[in-house]
Amino acid sequence: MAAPGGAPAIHRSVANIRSPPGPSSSSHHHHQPHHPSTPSRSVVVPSPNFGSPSSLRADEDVIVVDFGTRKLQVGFAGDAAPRGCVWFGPDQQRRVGDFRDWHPDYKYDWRQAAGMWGWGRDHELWQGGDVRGTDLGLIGDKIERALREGFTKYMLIDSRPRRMVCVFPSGLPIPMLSAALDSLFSRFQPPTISLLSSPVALSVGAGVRSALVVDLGWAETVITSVYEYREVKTTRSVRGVRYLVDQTHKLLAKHLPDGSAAKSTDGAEEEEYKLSFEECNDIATRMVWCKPSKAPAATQKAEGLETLVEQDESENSAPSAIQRPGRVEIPLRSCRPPTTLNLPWEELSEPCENAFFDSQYSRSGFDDHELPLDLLVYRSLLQLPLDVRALCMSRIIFTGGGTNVLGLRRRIFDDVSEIVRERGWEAVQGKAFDQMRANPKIKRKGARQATGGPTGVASPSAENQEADGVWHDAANTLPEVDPIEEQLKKGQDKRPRVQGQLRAIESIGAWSGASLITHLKASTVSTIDRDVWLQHGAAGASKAADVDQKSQRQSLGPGGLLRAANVGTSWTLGVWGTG
Amino acid sequence: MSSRRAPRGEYIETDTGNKVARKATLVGTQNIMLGGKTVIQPEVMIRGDLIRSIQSSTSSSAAGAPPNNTAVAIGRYCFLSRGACLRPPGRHYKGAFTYMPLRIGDHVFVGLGSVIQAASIGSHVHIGARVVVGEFAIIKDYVRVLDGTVVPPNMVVPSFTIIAGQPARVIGEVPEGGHEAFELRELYKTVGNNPHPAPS
Amino acid sequence: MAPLPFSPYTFIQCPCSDSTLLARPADAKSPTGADAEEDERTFDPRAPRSNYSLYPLEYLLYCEDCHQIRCPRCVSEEIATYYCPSCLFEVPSSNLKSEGNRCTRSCFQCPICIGPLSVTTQETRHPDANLLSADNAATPHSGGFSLTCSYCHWSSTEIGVDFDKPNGIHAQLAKIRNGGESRLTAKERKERRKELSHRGDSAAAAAAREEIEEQVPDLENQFANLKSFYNSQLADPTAADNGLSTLGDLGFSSPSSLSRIMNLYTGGKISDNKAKSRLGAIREALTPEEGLLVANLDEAALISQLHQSEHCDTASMAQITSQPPNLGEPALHGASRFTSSLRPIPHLLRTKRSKRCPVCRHIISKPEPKVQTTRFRIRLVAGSYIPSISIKPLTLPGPSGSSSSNPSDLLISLKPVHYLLTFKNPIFETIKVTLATPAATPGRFPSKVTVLCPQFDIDANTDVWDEALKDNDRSDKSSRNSGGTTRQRRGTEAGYQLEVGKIWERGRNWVSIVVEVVPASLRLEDGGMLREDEDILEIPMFVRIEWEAENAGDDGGIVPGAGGKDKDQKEKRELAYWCVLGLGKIKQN
Repeated sequence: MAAPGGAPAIHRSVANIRSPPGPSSSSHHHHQPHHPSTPSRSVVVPSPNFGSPSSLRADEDVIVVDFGTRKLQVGFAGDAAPRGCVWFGPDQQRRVGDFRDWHPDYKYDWRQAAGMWGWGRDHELWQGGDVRGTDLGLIGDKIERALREGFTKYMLIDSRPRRMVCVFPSGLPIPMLSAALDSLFSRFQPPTISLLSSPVALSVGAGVRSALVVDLGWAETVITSVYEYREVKTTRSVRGVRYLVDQTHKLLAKHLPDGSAAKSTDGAEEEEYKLSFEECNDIATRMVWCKPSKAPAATQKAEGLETLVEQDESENSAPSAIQRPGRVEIPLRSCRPPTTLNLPWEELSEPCENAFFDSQYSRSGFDDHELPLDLLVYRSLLQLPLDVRALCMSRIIFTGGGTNVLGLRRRIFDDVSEIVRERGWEAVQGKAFDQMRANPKIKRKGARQATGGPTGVASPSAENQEADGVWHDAANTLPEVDPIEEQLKKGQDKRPRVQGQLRAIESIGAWSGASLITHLKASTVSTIDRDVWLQHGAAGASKAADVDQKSQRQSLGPGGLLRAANVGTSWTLGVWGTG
Repeated sequence: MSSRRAPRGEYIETDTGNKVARKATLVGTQNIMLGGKTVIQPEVMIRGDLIRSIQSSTSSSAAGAPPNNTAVAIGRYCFLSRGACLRPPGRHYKGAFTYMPLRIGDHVFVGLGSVIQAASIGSHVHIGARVVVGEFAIIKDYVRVLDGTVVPPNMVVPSFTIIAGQPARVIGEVPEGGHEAFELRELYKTVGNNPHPAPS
Repeated sequence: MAPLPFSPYTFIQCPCSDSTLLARPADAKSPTGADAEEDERTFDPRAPRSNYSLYPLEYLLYCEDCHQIRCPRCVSEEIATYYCPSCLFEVPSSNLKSEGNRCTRSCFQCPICIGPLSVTTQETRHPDANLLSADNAATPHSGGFSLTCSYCHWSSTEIGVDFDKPNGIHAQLAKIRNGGESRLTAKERKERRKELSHRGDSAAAAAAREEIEEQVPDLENQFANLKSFYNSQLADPTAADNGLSTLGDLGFSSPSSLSRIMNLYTGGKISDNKAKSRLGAIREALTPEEGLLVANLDEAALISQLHQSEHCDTASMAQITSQPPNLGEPALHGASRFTSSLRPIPHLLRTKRSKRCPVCRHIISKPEPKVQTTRFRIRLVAGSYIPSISIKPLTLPGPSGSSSSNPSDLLISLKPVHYLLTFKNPIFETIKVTLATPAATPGRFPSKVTVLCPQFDIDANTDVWDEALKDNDRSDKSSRNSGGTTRQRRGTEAGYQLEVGKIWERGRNWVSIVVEVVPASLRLEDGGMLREDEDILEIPMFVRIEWEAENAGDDGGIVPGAGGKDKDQKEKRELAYWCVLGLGKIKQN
């Protein structure tokens, strides 16, 4: 997925931008992301006269749109939930007045669709990873049609211009963002569009200022650490829900009776799908589940992993549940001929295992873009500065379609706990390190008591922390002074924040978070004016695209899309300077 | 439309312009009201015998007027295609089973082999082939029911709606420019004992 | 699988589909403006984007002032009426914001099959006692009421939900969770809390309060909790003068790599200290009451529930996606997959809308606001302004006599066929039509197209009265293939020869011309697959219509001051657009 790190491709996604700092050109430009809390004076963000002009009036409807790969959600700011959710799918891509999908004799030929778009791709708004070969105009068209449906069917609003707040995945490549904005501005005439990133919206929607947002998304899993409402670091893995559906197909295809999926005359395709995407997606949603962590519960207890949230006795019922033998019947309609599979229920956890963990392989054997999720979460935390990590690890927000896989959140959480128990927060691994760790003296030396007595549900006892000091010490170290914290301490609130222990919290969701932000009139930085977009945005379209890109690389915050031209100067010019 | 050559006298043409195929089955004709200019093709069945067995006490016609025994009322310029079946809906009412009248407005097309048990169907309604309209469904004006749809009992379909599916659901709205397409005057001329050709 | 019956069709591309691209100065390097370069290329109806700009004629409106086609994408809409499509009650617009987009009476759809649900008494003796009869509702029932699907016979009792009263189901349902547990709405919770605090600190009150707070807050409550928490933080007067400079610093001098799309601190101008500090002063939520909710990751019970479930106990994607957001539960995550978690779906409201021209703001469609009325006050449909095109295969009676031809017959690759296109002029002026088609259709399978007569005039439409008088005459004139000759036919009747440059047939306000097509061969060299609809012979056609119109006043007089004062002067008008003709299906070898 990711383009080669060094070469700045024209349509580079933010994924690359934000991948771990290498010797790439970005390093001298970026501040070292390891110390986000220490503002670097050397990098001066342009003077803040970009303040958004939008002071949202209460009586005015503001529309909040949350863009996902497969659906968009629309509603009014201030509402607890979106009014409607529109899914992208082949039926939406038909001409107006074409009702063939409803004809009794019509059967959607998924093989044809797969041949044209790729298996399941016709259910996606965009293929986030790669802009090349993407019809950006088509993305605009899809957005327009879906949003129109959202407005007409769910929001019941007329076409008077209204302000919009859009929640985009933070890794969205700029050309796609630009296509989306083009479509919105030209077709719906909003006076302004404010941009929010989903991790920040999710944090606000969970009531926290910092969080580790684990987005088990469709195209990929993205882990974003948010610190004081700012995205600090993003890591990603192709192990998303789409991959889960792929694995589900693999499982089902394996069980298909031989010959039932007779090869089509053109057996040349490298990947032969025997079942429709729609059917596999459906089964993945309905039947697939996730096995609990292999780490024996007894060990966890002895080791004092009581720190884990909600770890009560009921957990032990999970293994017993799976021991029950059982088979399940799954009717399949998209293969030739239709059949009903009868497979062991146990096997329905395989797709999840393969898609998200691949635990049969050594953990060191994975490429960066395909890390198993437990490792991905661990690494994301590991790469954070201590203070940030301490906060983020206690504010893990699971979101995305993957949260619907029963047991998956718990599994990731437990596996991460296990890794942490094994390794602590040391980037170094190996035998020597293990020995050092085994030495209690060394261990004690580093241990430090948590400064704040935990008040949260998951508060570990002091003894537990002591015993478990290897990893808690790092997390509880607070080398940096947090100005906010300081201010709060000065202020009325003396309650310390929960930190240093793994804890998962629930967010009301990105859409609802954005609704809340807008409702609170917390103005967003990148509010784009329609007129400016249509003029400057177009005049700079060539530039804007590039500029946007580099601006996002540095910041989609201050300066945002419009002032980006003033932002970066050095390395990006080499590529786009001619523009 | 098919260019089938109709044998002489296939249809009975009434004074009000109704064209009723001789091969249509109309049961209880005294309870079937035709508004005029309605075409009833062969093999159509209309169950006029299924009349209301309990007179509604609240009905205004109860006072003095003869009991209203209409089982099926059809307006003008309706077109009932071959094999269609019109059947008044029935249900329990105050402890006894009774049929209720089936009312159909003007310019209503009923496709091949469709079964209609609605309480009412408005005007300018197109019902496709092999459709089932369940008991006591109410279909308002300017509605298009696509082929093969099953309209569940009691469903209300508002005006300017396109429905399809099993069970039926709203899949679209009839656009402003689509109203004229419900007109059945031209179609009326194309059948009967002296059919006019379809306009080009 | 039976092949779908094919019937010829016409789609028209609204000219607005280009104008959005032109709204910005063309910029070759613009990522989205890339298509601008290919402005002059032939319209390809098969391109994925074309599906978004093509409309059947019925969907198009027409602005009499701008003399332009308007499509659903480019009109601006205004809502005349909101109503429930099931009970047909009109909903005042003021209710929409507060009560939402769904019917708040008793109109629900089945979560399993989407059919309508009726309120039934739980005595199964009268399964179809329904809302149609008020009498039924009035009779008292001890057994309670439930929602039942008349199509699949699902009942709300399956999710453990029944009702005390047969009306106001929406309000009742809002207070019942699946399984029958009652819930407090966010509003009620607030009131209850207030009430308790008034009652003082009695032990009973404390217990009651605990009871309220003990429930895991559902989404609605969590949102409400967060909202009031943030509001209280923002309203806190002591926060205003705390740590102001620190915050400002942090906000603006933070490394740019850290600030992302959104940064709450830097929202205001630097002078807007108050707002900033207010935002900065928000602390985190710490308790469920403030909106912080520790996730319950333990899904073992659900996993074993899944283990015991059949495939049919789980909800399909279609069922899940048609569910409205369930505010009455905490985030369901995986639990949403069970049919037992589905809720009856309150009917979405619908609207009646009037439409305006986006350019001149004139109304081009306006329905009567009453729900039950189907009349329109204004309805300027494109069909009354631009010619309609009908298509039928042309079979020349050969020596063998009558050969019937059916639109659903498959076309044979490389075997030339002829189609008769009939253009009907709806306006009261003679129009000149100019057609242009590419010699070969775009796409992977180019079929050859020849329009034998690409330019012709069509006589004016006459008004309704004339039409009525001529009605019979016209019917006689119309021809059928089997019907033989007509006086107007220009071709030599003896040989039925087709002449280039000559129209085939002419009527009062219509003209038929012939198009010759040579269907492509559908063979793919690389052994690939035929895409959907690639076997349909579709030709893009550029239509240009020119006519001379009376200047303002004569055609209805609705355009004050649009034209000159000289009424005799005729004005040249022109309209041009792409359309797509679907002629037939090519037989696959």
